[in-house]
Amino acid sequence: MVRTDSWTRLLAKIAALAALLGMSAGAFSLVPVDNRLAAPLTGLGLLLLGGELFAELMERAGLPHLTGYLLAGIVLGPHGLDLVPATTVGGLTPINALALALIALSAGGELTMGVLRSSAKSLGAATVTQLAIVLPLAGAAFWWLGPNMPQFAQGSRGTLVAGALLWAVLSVSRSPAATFGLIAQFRPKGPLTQYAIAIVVAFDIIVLFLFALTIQVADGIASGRGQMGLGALRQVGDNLLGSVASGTMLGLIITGYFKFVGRQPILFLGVVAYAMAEFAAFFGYDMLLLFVVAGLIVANVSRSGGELLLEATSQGGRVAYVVFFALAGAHLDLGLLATIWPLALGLAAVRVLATWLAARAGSWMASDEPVVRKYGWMPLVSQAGVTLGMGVVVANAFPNSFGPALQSLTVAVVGINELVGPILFKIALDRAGEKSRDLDEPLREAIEQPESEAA
Amino acid sequence: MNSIVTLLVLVAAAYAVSFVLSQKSRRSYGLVSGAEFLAIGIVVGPSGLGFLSEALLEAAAPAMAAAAGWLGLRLGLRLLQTARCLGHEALLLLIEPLVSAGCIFGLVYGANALLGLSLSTPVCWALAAVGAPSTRSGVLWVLDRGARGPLTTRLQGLTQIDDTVSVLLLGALFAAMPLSGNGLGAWEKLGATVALGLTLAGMATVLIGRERLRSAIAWLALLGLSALGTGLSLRLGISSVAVAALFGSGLGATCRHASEVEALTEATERPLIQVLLVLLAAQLSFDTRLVFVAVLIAALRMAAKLLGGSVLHLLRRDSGADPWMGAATLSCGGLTTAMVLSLGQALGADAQLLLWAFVACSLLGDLLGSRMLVALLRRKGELAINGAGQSSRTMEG
Repeated sequence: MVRTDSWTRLLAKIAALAALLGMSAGAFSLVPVDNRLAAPLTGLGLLLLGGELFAELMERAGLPHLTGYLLAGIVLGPHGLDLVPATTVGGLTPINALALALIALSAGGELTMGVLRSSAKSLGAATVTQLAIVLPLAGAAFWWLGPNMPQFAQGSRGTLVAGALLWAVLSVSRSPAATFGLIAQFRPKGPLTQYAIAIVVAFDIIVLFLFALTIQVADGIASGRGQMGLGALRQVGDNLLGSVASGTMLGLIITGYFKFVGRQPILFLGVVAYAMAEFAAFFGYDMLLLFVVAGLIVANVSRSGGELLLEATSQGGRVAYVVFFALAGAHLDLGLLATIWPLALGLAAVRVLATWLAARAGSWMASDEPVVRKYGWMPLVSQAGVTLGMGVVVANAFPNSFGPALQSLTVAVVGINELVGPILFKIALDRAGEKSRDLDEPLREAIEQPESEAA
Repeated sequence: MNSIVTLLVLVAAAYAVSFVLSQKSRRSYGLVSGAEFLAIGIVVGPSGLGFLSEALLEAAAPAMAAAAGWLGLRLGLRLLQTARCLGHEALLLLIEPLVSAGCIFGLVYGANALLGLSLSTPVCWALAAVGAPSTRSGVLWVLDRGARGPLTTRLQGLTQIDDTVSVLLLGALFAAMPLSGNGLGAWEKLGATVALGLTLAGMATVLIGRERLRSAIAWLALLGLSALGTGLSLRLGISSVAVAALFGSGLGATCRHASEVEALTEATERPLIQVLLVLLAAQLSFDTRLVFVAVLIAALRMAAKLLGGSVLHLLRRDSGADPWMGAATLSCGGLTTAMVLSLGQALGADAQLLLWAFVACSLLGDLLGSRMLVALLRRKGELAINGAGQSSRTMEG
């Protein structure tokens, strides 16, 4: 009976989604000419509602909400029904910055000193093994499979080496946003969660350095000059230091606000996050690192501040996650994936294999707990915005040679990892038994309670 | 520095200044409409110091449209509760805004013909729709100072219900206005307004559900449907504020958690209005003729409000109504801001006049309306000369 009721409600929601799509399609056919004000608002509304309804469907299928958000973006976006066209997706991108800021803030809020201390050994070992195993294996796979693309088959040996080097670095990048998205949904606690947070944050920083270095080396090799400038590395260092300093300042401001004012925390965080995101973009700082540091400061300077931060971000965070991942889904080019899927699948498989091997080796070195040893590779499969961003940089750096081809390959492989990664992480959390609560618990409780009892 | 950051910093500063000074300024001058935010907008706008560029205002237009829709939704959520609270009295109270709107239209139309102001008929109706309602803040302010009595109650009801007339006028006005690239007729647009508003309400009720309210889901449903409703309204050329108000009213009627949803979203209203006021005022470009016409319109609105109050007094002499009620409800509120925004985006070249008229009406409302309100309540013995700060923000009766 209870199950029937909950399914009835789900069917009502599916009917609402169908009505929504029908209404939008009707309005679009009645007035085909769109205006600049209407398009972003309609797109945002469709992605928010579609994302939420798809998430509920995915939940019934035992999959994470994040997969539902991505699917909503794919279905409604320019490569699906085109109810949210490419121009609208581009126009909504600034909202991404706000969403990512809230996601990173909440992740930083999980990083107490205790967590950092207990993860230090695992983090060190995992960093060494991930770099020592994933980098060469991913590079070798590209060396072997890359010539299936004409740009690398017809290019010089230097082009292939440069492509393999860049591909290797792209392969070690992870998706902090996807990891934090799942953590926000399930609020897991335990060694696997700590391990996942520590690794994705650490690799966000490591990859920035590696990428800056590799793009210089690749430029030297591809052009045959054999020289490289290290100015870019210095700039990366400056930017990282700036990010940490700004994050510390922001963390102190948030702590002060929570302590002395405390009113409307979601509104305050939204305004501050947006302003700092613009600030970070202006100075070229790493936004993710900035906000993670801010969250870390809030969580460690004042205990109540950390709790308030997590509460506020979990309330406002869901909207942020839906927007962020639905837009990510809308960006996924399924047409492209259809054309180069064998190559993309091969490279993605090698990456997963290398990640598994590296995680096992790292856990063995650090004598990690059994759950980390067994499932530690699963949170590391996701890739998203950071990797896509690096793909754009590669395309711009080598526009007349292999840049655009490598970017297309990146989009295709990230598409696979973006869909598979969150599912693997959820399975890992299920098996490790670390899911402490689901945001939808109240609903389940209410459903499982007789109406009179609930009243 | 990026313009958006500039705007955020300015709004934060305005919020802080308002936070520090609002109690004092309200006590001393009765500023209830946010005149300080209008002043900030004028100073920092492209016509002032230029901190906010034309490009920024252009980029902020979709967000402003969404904010106007959100305020419409908030109004709709409140309207039904108020109507339930007032009962049949609500219908009688609608006389004042109806008469006021009619009089504003008549007076502005007459002045236009007499003085050759070159105002189109839709602009005259737009001014009537914008001029009819008044803000609740003025009455809440005197309630905070301990005002009690039949006239206070009546004024409280009036300021909460008078928005209905404006929303209806707005819906009709948008339906009547032709829009390029849109082949819909007036009746079709009216039908679309009602259908869209009610469909959104039905969807929100389904999405929010009957179980225990989950704030994250409620926020998602409200934000998503509000954005979608505003976007589709703009596309169809119908009033987004009227659609949102219908959405809110429908939600209030069908959703089990309507009052919780109303409480959940309450905190958004004030900051949104403050940001909108800054952005609205920033759009003003100086033109002596427009300023003159706007001051004239503000004076005509005052006359129309007096007439509306007098008519209500004549009809309900026995229940505490007073001929000066209209003058006591001159202040403009959040709905007016939302309406000016949406009308401004639809009226094109005539938007400047509407903006100036809004600024003039707000300032006049702040300077005169609050004083008239206090004087009236004191004369009736419903407000002590040095009213204590006893807070009461609920409908009496």
